[in-house]
Amino acid sequence: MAEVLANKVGGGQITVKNLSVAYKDLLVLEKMDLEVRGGEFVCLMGPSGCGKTTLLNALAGFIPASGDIRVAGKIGVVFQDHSVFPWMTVAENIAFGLGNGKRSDEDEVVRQHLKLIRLEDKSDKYPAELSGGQVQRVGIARALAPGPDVVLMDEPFGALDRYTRERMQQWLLEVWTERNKTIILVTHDMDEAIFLADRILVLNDGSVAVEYAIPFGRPRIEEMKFSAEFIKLKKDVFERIKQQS
Amino acid sequence: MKIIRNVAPIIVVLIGWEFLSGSGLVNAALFPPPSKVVIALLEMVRSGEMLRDMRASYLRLIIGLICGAVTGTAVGLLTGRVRLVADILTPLIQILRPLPPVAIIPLVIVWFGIGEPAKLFSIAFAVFFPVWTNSHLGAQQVPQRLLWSASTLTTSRLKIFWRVIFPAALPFTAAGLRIGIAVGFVMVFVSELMGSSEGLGYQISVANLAYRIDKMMAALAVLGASGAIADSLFAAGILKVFPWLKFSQTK
Repeated sequence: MAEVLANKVGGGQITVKNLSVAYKDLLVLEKMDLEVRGGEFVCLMGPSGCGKTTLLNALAGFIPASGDIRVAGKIGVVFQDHSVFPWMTVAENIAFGLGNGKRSDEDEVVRQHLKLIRLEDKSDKYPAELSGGQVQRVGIARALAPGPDVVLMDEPFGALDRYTRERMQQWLLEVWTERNKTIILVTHDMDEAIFLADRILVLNDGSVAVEYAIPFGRPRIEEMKFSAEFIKLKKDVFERIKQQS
Repeated sequence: MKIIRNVAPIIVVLIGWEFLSGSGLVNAALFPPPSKVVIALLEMVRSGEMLRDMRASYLRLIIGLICGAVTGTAVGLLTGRVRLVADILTPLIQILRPLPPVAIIPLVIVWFGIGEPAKLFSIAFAVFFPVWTNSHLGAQQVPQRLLWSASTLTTSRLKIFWRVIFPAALPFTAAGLRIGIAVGFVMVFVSELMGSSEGLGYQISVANLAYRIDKMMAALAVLGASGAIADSLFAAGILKVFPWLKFSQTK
């Protein structure tokens, strides 16, 4: 069984060799190889059941897998739903992963992250009192607060309305630029994947079917979604995924 | 408006009862009117016996409840989450659970005598099962993703238990505790029927021997009202301690 070897050195590189995951008799991932550079933004796409979420869960060490997974540094995760603890306030959620340092340092980290997610005035609110976008920002802040090198995100904006989702994408890019984390994000939204990623991996039948390097520079602005190049790339990805499903 | 809807039926029943007792249709000695019950109650309050009985019963109830609730919650969370503990304890609990708690009292008296420990054990024993069942089910329902998230944020299993599994199961556990409180009142009464010199249950059985139906009814009314008040106090108190619970309740 593969053990996720997360070393203390950091850097955020991910190396996966020969990764297989089976649920009962069904092979969900088959001999997958994957290299991710430190600080890279990778989006995983593909039809339902192609193994995107399974790959993420294997990288996080949540499920048994065979093969070799090496992650340089600590891992943080963000899910689409059930991502924050409903019984903790915003500040308590962010502080949950801390707790090994001094109290005053902790408070400072919480303050920084409240500022990062622009919810300074909501620190004592419970998640049920926030909007969907705000809850997801809390989930992201909680994952970032302990200082992970790699952040794994499973459709983090999937439940949000289009307008909120686009603002969150812009915000996530700002955070990513500032913090320089490796991010692997699962999404069904092609605009989102192309807008955010350095690289898109399209999964099918348990392995990487095709890979797109995104040619757009940074920083990225909303308008590029209307450029001919963006639309052409989107069409390519779309047709590729449609062929498979 | 709600308070009127709540209180009006009680008043209607009391008035009807008053008239029925006074009408001569029933034997007023067996079925004393509420006015006589109130007089008996005031007399018991003045003599001090009511306060003494209430204090004795409440003390037993509180100690028994706490013992039953704490063990029920802790064991329920463990059997709900830890396979090994579940394998060892669940069959044992499942065998004991269908027993009517009242049925174990003779055995408890053999073990503990007729003193205070027997009463406290009987109450705690009866409270344990509804709390255990709910807390066990609650612990099994914790969303896997919350546990996964927690595991990336802390390596302390104790922290995950106390700050994730316990609150995640709390809406269930709280429902179990409310049943536990009701069962606790039953057991206070039953346990005081034997070998007591004070308590509401004792008062009811002594009044029965003395053929003082009015006193019996007065003690019953206090017992019933105490149960209802205890339940509302618990419901309000738990929201004070865990304010987020109001979001988990269905509106």
